[in-house]
Amino acid sequence: MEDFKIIELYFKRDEAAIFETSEKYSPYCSVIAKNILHNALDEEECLSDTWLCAWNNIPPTVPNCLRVFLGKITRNISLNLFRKKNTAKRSAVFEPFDELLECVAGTDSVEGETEAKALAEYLDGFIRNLPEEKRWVFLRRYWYGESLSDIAEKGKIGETRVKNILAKLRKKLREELKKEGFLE
Amino acid sequence: MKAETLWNAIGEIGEDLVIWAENPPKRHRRKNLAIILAAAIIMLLSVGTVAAMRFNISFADLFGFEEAEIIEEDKQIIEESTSAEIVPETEEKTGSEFTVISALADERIMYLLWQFDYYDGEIPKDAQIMPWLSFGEASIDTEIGYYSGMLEENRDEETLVGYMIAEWNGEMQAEGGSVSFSEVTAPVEQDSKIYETDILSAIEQSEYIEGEYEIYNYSGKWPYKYYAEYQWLDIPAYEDTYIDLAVYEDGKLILVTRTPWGDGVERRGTFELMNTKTGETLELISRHGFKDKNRFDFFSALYEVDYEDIENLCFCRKGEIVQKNWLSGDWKIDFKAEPKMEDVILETADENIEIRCSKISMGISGNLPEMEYMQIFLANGTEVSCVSSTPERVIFQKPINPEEIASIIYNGEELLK
Repeated sequence: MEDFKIIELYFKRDEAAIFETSEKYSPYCSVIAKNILHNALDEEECLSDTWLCAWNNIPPTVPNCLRVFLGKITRNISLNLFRKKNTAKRSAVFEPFDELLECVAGTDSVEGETEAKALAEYLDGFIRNLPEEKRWVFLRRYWYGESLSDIAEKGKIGETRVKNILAKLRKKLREELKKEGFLE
Repeated sequence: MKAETLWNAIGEIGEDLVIWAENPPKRHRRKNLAIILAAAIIMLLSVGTVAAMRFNISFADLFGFEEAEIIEEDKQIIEESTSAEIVPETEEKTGSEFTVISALADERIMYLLWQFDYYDGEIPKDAQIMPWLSFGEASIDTEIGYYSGMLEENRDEETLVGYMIAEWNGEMQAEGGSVSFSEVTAPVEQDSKIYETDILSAIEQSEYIEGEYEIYNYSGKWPYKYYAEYQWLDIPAYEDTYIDLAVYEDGKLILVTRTPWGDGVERRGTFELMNTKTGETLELISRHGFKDKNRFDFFSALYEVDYEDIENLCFCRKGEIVQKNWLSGDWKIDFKAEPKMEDVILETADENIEIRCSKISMGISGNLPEMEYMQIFLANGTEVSCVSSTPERVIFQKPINPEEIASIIYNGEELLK
């Protein structure tokens, strides 16, 4: 079913919207959940929460791109679920998230809604200005939460190269965030 | 700031970026080569199966194939040989790494690909590596030695890629070889330098016996006399070069200089005559040079200049771009490759001539006249570039598919049926 028809179902409060969404976007969202959770049961729980979240938000929200809208929800729910379930397990890590710690470690900043929006806008520009290959690697790792080996395989580039691209980008991002006043 | 804030902010970037990232960016490849080589890869070598994904650059990158078209077993991967400053696998790499990616080999030659990764920053633009290839005691004085080059289209700020093509024999194949280098060079601009030169004194001291010949420069406009014999002067010109003779006649200055050669002294740069009063360099009207048996380079140069300006003249070396050492080290990889690539026999017009051809080289045997020239064309009309062409051993610059060869012109005659 086309996206606008699915969104129409949400607006009509027709529960078929959830079925249609799940039919169409389960593969897409489950890849994101799997990247973060690595556990079939948790992935299932995450997808259920994603459909529910979509149901609660549409309307009033009208997604421009339903796929990305759902992906974003899955991404956030997956991370929350991961953290909830692994609080006690010190050994369990979600590498992309831990890597981002490098960018902000030992810094302080004022955090509020306005700052978050400005930060998102800044990051948008930062990512857009990266060369294609680096931009793609960055997004696969920190938006899709993908493993290094998967990025290397999909991008037909070496894992070492992926690792080094990311390390350099994190360093660059930290410097830029400091320069722009997001980090103190 | 918390990592979560950053994670969430990344989640809020433009949707178009997220959609764009669904598929990997397309690489800029040379499509014509891809067409030629797509078939060529099918029957490459049949040895190792070490995962090529480990390497930064694949055959796909180098020759324009889609990865899916490459059959893993077709590639001959040199054993996991790298020369690197070792770091723990889990940590970010530092230093550099030299890797022999792979090799294609037949009985005549070996075509080897290497990759250099630098992890501590960016490799300067136009950096160069010239590796040495050695087969140790098995080395022979082959006709071509080996060819080495960089694959410029595959370089980026962290990686350099290159190839080496070596002629080899059974002994070298059995022994194996090594690839090594000790420096990466990068272009740097040399400082300009002015040399104190007393040309007026050189003119005054010059003694010569006028010869009976006259020689002319390229345009024939400025005949000047050939000074057959003279006493060498030892007036410093620049570096280790001396003025031997200086003559001024009719507004024309002739300088003969002498530089020792073959002594291993590095001489770089272009040396010019400059008027220090105006800062302008003199136009070189004519220049002739020769080497003599005493191991000197002699040059006679002709300039147009007013006599009163001569006292202001001196030699200068303008700043120019030269390759200088950028990174030193000791990178060496031992490897062993096998001549697994099989020849295809091409159908010839003369049954006494046999042409055997693989993806990387060709050998022609039979009763052939001495070669004047040879051209090889593919079915699509493309002429095959070769790094070496003798009937016994034609070496292609890049791998081709022998089935695609449509014409071999030897001294104007078509060899194929």
